[in-house]
Amino acid sequence: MLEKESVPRWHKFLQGYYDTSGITSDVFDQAVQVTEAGVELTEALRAKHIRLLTAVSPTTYYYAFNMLDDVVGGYDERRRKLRQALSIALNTEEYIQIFLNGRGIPAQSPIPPGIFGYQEGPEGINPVVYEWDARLGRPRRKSLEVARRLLAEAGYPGGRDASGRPLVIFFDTTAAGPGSKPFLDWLRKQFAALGVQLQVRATDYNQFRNKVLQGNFQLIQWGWHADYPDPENFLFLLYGPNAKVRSQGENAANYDNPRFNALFRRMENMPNSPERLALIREMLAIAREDAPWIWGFHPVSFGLYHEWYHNAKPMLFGGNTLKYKRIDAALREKRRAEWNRPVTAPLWVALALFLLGTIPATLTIYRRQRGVPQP
Amino acid sequence: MTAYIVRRVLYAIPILLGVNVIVFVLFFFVNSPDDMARAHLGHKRVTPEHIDRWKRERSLHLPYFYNPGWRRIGSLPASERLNTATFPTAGAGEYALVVEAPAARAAAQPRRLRLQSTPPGRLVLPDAFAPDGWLALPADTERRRFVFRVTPAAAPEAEPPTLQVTFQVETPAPAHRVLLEYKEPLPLLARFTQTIFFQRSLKMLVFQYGTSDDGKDIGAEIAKRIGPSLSITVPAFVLGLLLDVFFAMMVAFYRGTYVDYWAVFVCVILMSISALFYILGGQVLLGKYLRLVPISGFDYGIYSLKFVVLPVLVAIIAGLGGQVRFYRTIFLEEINKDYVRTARAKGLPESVVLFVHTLKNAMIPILTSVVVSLPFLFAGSLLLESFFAIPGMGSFMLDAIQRQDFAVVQAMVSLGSFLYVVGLLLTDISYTLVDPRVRLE
Repeated sequence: MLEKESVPRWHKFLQGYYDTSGITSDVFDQAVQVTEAGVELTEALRAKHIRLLTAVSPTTYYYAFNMLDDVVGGYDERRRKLRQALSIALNTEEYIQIFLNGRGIPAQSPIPPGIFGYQEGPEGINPVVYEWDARLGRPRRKSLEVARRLLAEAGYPGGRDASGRPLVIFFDTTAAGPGSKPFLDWLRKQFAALGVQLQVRATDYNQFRNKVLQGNFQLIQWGWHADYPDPENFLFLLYGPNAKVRSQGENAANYDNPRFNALFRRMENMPNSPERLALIREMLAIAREDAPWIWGFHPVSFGLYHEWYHNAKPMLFGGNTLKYKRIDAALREKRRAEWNRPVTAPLWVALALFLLGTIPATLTIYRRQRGVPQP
Repeated sequence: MTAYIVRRVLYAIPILLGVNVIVFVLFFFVNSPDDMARAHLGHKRVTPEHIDRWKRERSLHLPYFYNPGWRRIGSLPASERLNTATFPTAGAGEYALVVEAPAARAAAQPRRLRLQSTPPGRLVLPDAFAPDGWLALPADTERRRFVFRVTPAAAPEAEPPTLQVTFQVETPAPAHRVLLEYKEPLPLLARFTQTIFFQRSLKMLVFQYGTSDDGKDIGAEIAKRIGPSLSITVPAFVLGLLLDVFFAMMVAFYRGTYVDYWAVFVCVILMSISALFYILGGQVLLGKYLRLVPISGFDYGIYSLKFVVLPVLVAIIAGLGGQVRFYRTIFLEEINKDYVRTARAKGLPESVVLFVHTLKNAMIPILTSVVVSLPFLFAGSLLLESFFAIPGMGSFMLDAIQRQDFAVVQAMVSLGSFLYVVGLLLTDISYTLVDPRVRLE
């Protein structure tokens, strides 16, 4: 891709030289305003007949606990409650608001909207972390009090262990630049609300991969984008035999629950049916209770399209949409010419000022030639 | 003078060689060829065979500096619990059996290895092996190498002996494998040229840059990209130099007046503002609001004119402040010399004194400080090319760094070191040309 910087790309999109564009955080306010009715374009963009289309991406970003670790891993009551407490404390809604301009949906399970197995409404929420708010008709995160109580039951009242030392959890990441400091500070604050200390260990990508391969971490952040629209493609991330340490599979948390594994083997190759949904719901109930992941969020992609760009919809699987697109080239040329008429007036003014400015200069030379040379 | 140039060129050779070695060490010891392969092939479903093939395509399977001659002639992955394979040998000689296991936990299982030859009795195995050819491997071994020999036949034989390798594991994992290597007797020269250092680093001294990590010919790519880079750097350099000298002379002419004070003030302001601001400001002002030039982009031939105006303008203005101040100082120093007083006493007009005599003498330090940057006109400007979407050398380097294309980055560093040495040589030569008092021994 030739246009490397986002600023020229954005300006050229507004001038009509690019047909579509995404929206980066720094121009978000210029493009979109968030009202009670939802998101809509600003006046400036509507005047150019630009369209906004949004779609939830079949992607899930999650935080994985290392189930082989002594402190955060394991399937006993105490450590399960520790993970559940931390899951409640990490406020994904706040993350989406601050860092994504609201472009995301908190995840209730690994399965994103649009994939079989995802359920809206009260049956689809994660009962460990959320309660259903019947008045507003949407899930509400449980309060920090619940999290603190779970943490105390896990053996860490107020975030301190039996000997009075604070619980320290290590977060391994490749995010090391100044741009990621706000995120890491925010993350530390989430855990500090429970009295737990989060230590960030930032390394380069090679070392990070090695650590994960050898199971040498406590908490990491990772994501998965669907390869094909089937729930097996998300649930296999929690299947025991796929554990990364054991067989370099995609199960980075090394989660291995025999009941979950048995159900997975049954539902793997089933066609979509009510029976399959029942199996998936049972698996999700097991996984939510064990909390090997903090479920994270599903991003929402925003796309801007010019009026001459027809049959465009955000296509989240595969990229073979070119054959459907239609561009009204005549309209595009017309709009480009209309929007990009040069303004030459300031140039003439500048030239005039420059010429005027040379007059005192020439006068000084003339006077000097007549008079005594300057030292 | 010729002797001097020849001597300088001869000095340059060990410098370039030294830079070559240091760059090689930096690139290949920090990132081993295995790391490079994984960085490129991604992490999903990558087998050791993929990595081997990737490395072989880029000559990265060779040793670093010296090749004793080991060549892989077979591999046996542990895809079952009991794996057997027969490999032909290349006759008598030294062979090696390498057992490779991935991450430590996977290797923590009992394994047995067996080696036999057909016809039997032709092998000299290391002591670790039992007489019947079996060896039990310690549970936590990640990589182990056993060197053995195939003895020559008593009588000439129709075909060379074959080797049977048996590998028994508890948990089959194809990434866990046994490799068979043969030590080929290489001629002395080949032992040094069949190495990564020769193939990938030394060749760059003769401008053979090879192929990039995604298969393109680097030399051809550089030839394609020099044009756009030069179309920005050369006008910026020439026009910039002319304008800087002109403005500096004007300011020196009006020294002591309000023009002088205001000029220095404006120059300091221009110097303090970052180049990025000029780029973004120029794009917004001239591209977005006045719509006089395109915001970014490039085209070839005569059509490049409208795309080049803004980057050249930005480059000139970004350098204006510092250069005009510097040249003004040089001019003022010259003006206070004796020959200027003589010229004035002779009755010459001030303009002739300044524009003819002072200029010639002030050009000595100006030219020599400017000649050193001549070779870097070829290297392009990373910042300008990335904001103005110019497909030049700067963006080539930037792309390669972002994609972790080590071959390209190595090539550009090698080219850069060559340009630097040339630049220093040119500076010394230009000294002699402009200042007749200087003689190079």
